[in-house]
Amino acid sequence: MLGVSIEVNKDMKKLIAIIILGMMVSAFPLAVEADDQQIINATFNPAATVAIVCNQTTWTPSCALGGTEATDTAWGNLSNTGNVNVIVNVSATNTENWLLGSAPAHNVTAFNMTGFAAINLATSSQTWCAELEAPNNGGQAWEHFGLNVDMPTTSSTGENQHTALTFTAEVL
Amino acid sequence: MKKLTALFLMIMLACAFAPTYQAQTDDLILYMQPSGTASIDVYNTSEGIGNQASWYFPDGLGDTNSTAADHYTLENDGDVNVDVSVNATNTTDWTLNTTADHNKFHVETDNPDVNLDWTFQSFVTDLAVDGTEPFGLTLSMPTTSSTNNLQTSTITFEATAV
Repeated sequence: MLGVSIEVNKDMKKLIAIIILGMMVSAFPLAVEADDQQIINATFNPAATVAIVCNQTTWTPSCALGGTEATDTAWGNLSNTGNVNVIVNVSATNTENWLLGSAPAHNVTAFNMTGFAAINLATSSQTWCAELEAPNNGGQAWEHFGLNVDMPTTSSTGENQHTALTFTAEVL
Repeated sequence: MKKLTALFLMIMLACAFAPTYQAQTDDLILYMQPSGTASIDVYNTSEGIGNQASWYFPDGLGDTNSTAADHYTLENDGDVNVDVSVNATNTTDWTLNTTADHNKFHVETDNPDVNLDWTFQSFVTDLAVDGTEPFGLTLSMPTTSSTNNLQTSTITFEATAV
């Protein structure tokens, strides 16, 4: 009768042991250390203070009809004194008897800003500074400006005329 | 007598050629590691576990304010002790910083005190299962800002099984 003998030597035993160990490890898998995250959403409202200051309050040019007068281009200074960057717009009013225009004419005066931004003033608001930085941020929180007026060529009145120049700051 | 002698000889021969058995041992090492679940919950203490913690800072630019020192609670609701770390994010327009400045804000946890950064820092170690850690938050708003828009920072607590 033929017999088959299988010799299980020491190396073979080790291999079998490793296989069995592997099976056992599979039965008790190594834990994946699951991380868990939780969050707090913190919401902040800057409640910013918008404030600007112009260092000039009055300009009184003395100029004849058809003439021109101008300040120095750094005559005025507008500063951001709030705590947020702002956009600054500017507008002016017509005088009692004259209109603001792009060029002088009869009862029409051309009122311009010079210096930092050259603007022909109108009753509608125009952007003078797209972003005036808040103070203490390392940037410049002010800009200089000048004024220039071209008197009407002719006028229906000899009375003094007044216009109000208005800067308006808004949060960006 | 001859039979008896023959029997003795057979026994002696059998003993002389008896197979030898060597004692041999192999170790089978069984590794078992608990599949622990690291799980935490962070909630407003007054509202209890399960509530989403949040904070609406009440003041404006240049202000510093704190919650109560136990305003929030971190709880280990898993089944294994955990180490917990914490970080925070920048907002859309402001940067997390060690001090308040233009467009820079500062947040720290109170009790334990951790100055929050973008990177995770240790908040509490070896928090036992069902253990709790009350804490508060302190925020310093930027001194000035480039925007007046609402800002949101996410403070993240991460638990890792010990």
